[in-house]
Amino acid sequence: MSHHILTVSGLTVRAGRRSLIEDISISVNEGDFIALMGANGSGKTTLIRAILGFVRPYSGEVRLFDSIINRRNIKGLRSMIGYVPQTLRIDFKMPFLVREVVAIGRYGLAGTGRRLTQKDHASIDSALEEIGISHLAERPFGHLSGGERQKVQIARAICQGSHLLFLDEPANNLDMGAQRDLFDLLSKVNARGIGVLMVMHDIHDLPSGVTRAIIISRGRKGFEGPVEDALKRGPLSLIYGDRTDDVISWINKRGKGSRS
Amino acid sequence: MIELFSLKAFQNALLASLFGGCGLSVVGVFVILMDLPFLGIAMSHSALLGAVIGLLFGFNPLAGAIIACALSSIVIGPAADRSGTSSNSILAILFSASMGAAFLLMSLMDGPKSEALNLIWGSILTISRPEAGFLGLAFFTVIGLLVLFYKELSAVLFNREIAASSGIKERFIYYAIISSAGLIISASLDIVGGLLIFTLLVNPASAANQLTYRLKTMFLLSALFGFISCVTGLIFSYIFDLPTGAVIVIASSIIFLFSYIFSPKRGHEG
Repeated sequence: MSHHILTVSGLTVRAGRRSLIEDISISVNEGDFIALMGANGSGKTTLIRAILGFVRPYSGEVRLFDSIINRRNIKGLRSMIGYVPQTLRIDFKMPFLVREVVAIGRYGLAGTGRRLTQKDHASIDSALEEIGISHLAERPFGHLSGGERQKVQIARAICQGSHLLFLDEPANNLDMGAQRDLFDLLSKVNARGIGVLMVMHDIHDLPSGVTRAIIISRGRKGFEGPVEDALKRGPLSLIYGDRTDDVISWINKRGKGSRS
Repeated sequence: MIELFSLKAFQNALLASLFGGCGLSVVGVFVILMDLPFLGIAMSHSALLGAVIGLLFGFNPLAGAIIACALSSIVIGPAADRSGTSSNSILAILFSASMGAAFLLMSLMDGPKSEALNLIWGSILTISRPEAGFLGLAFFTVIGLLVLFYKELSAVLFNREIAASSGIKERFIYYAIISSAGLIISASLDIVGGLLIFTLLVNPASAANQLTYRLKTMFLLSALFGFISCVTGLIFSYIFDLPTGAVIVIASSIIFLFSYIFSPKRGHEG
């Protein structure tokens, strides 16, 4: 049996009386690569933000390694998850070099008011190298392309030393090439034993390394299983609703196209 | 010019330029990079209101300004914490309300209003040694926090959620920024006055942001521009008998203009 990194049980988040996510249980094991899918507004982002403690749950429990997360220990435990949020306010002018952005991953570990040590700098270097962006280290972050920025965020999350990565729609606004590149990179990182939980809102073009798909529909977990099973009518309708038939015929057509 | 520098009043004013000009401009880097221009405006006008209340009821205007800033940051902190328009409109209402109240209270004062007018327009040349001393205290507090928490502050400036996710005590750092802003604003009310003080929060940091991609350089340049603006204001107002605050504002605007024209970042947008 593989080792549980993260276990979420019966997590519910409410805004007033409205329930944003309801009774969701998932677990992430070492080496998992999970695609978390669902329509816009289904609760995917709320789920990962609740796990990270940015949104307070109404009920339920999040267990990270051996600790149950609560309001007091969340600040320390958060750094065990490398998080790449969806939207970053990017300003061309922002006075941050790539290396400085990656270094943020070490800041929490180094401790308040302390300087980074030799060891911190070594792990920044090796994260830059692993992600293949050493040559960008001295470039202003605002000058990078969308794909390069995502790589910097992943390098930052990795040098944090976490065993788990959360990515919220990392391929948004990326062209096909950059998207492939990013997914290959994630598969490579995942092969090293790091668990990956990636929010996607589309089922096509899932990275090949994905081991499991979870579909959230109206705040509840509608499906969990292998990617092949997620491509059937039932699970697809949880994401696409009325447009499921269109999506299925599109997937079939494309399948034929690529084979010929 | 030489005898000018030996004047006690001028020495005090020079110290105030150094402490206030640099201090405000350093805090301005946070205001610019966190995109909170209204934070400075709202705080400086609350400080103005507090000082006017102090004058009217016969206690120290500086103490009034500090208390008002502390009280207003209880509202301003959480308000600015909310992203987007809602936060800016709350701050804008707070700013206009405190300015209105300050003017209303001033109209209630008897006799000459020169001291109250100083609070609005600033009068760096009449600043006293204890006032300059307090400003120095505020300045060294801000610089001390900056040096001690530099890496945490830079992470929060990059992105608050990312800072939090890497295990930084992001809220503590955020409120340290707000409190330092309040402290330095209330202490330097005398330099440019309540109406124009936010220009020292915004102009030097914006000018510095045109010129560098390095955060450390941005802090240094911003402090330098703030100091130059204040000293220019000081000298011109002494020689030509002009209102100091107005000259400081013009000087910092000219610095911004030149930084913008010669910015290596220009023409790269989008």
